[in-house]
Amino acid sequence: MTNGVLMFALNGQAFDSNKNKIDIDYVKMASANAKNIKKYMENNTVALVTDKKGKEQIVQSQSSANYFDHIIVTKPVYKGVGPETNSSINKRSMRVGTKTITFEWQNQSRPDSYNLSPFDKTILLDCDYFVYDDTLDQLFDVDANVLCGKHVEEISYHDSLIDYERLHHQTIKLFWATVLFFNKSKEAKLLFDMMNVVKNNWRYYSKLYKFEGSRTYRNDFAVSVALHLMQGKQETTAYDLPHKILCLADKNIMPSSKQIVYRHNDGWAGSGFPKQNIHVMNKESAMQIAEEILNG
Amino acid sequence: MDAEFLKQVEQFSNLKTAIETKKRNGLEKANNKLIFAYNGGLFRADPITILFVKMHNNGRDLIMLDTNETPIKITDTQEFVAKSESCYFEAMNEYHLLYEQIKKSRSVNKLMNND
Repeated sequence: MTNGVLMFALNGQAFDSNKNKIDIDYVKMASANAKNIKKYMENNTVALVTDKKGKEQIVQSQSSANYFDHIIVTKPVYKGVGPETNSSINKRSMRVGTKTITFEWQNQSRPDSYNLSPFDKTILLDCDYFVYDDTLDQLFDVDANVLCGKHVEEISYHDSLIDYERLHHQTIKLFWATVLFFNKSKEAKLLFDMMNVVKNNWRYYSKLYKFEGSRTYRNDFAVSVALHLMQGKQETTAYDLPHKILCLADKNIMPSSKQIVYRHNDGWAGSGFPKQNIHVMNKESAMQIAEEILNG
Repeated sequence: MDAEFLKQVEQFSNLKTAIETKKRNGLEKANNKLIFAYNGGLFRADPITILFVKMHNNGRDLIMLDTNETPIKITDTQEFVAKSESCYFEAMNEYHLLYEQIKKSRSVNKLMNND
């Protein structure tokens, strides 16, 4: 029985409102995260799905190559006119502290994780979900075929957004594909096949589940719809990951892995952050933390 | 006088907010560390769970609901208690240490720069 962690990393470029280019180095984030996984987790075999350029980047940096046990090269084919198939249309805008950046969201191959994973039991992680402890190791000892992130908290505790809980305030609960455990089973295969069905019929499902306001293809939405259907269109706790996923909202900043800076009373406030697993949605902060880990 | 007083209140409030934010994130860390796997289920090592299993009469089967509401048979209560207590003490000791450190902090800067 093989256990391991799977991540995806396809580098991209973002532009701020002044058209300045910012490189989003997901490969570096994944390398840093792989280094941490080796350090903190017991089940620390790591596989990365990337493209040819991503693999070249890792091979050139010998130290990064040591953190990966498997590098799986894919060649994403972007065709069609919808966000679910074409990354140049699948754009996402995010705040980065005081700026807003827009970039191509290359996330369309995530539903292929089941076929790509070399492991019997897999924890699929976003590469900007940085591992700083061994809490996820427990998942490898569970009988469940699928468990997905459900409980999320923003670490400044200034927002309590319905967007973190539901796809839309009138519809189903939101699962976070940031942390997704699955094993090689019929049930898990069904989940990923269903995600592909949602992806390939994005407009239909976005109308049905009332997220048509989102012009971006999101794996969180695809996995939420798939799990809703698999539960017989009922809400149960069958697939809920009990761990809370702490995250840094894109508008807030982590200057380092132990510090946060957030909006407070029309200004900025700061606090310390006890080291633990953290989903860093601010891309600049994620790259800074990756740098910190790789240089540490 | 009022302006000076309000500035003091604001300074206190900023420090208090920073302390509470760090404390709450420490608590979330502790809560995640309480989760452990036993016999294929996931459990939270809270005091009620530990005490209930400790008090159990070994003459009867013990079935506990895990975090996904799945019934799991506790085949060895001593092993379960040992595992849950180990998680509980580790998580709470760490949280307590953090709290002892942050309650003495008198500046946001210190809070941000301590581990």
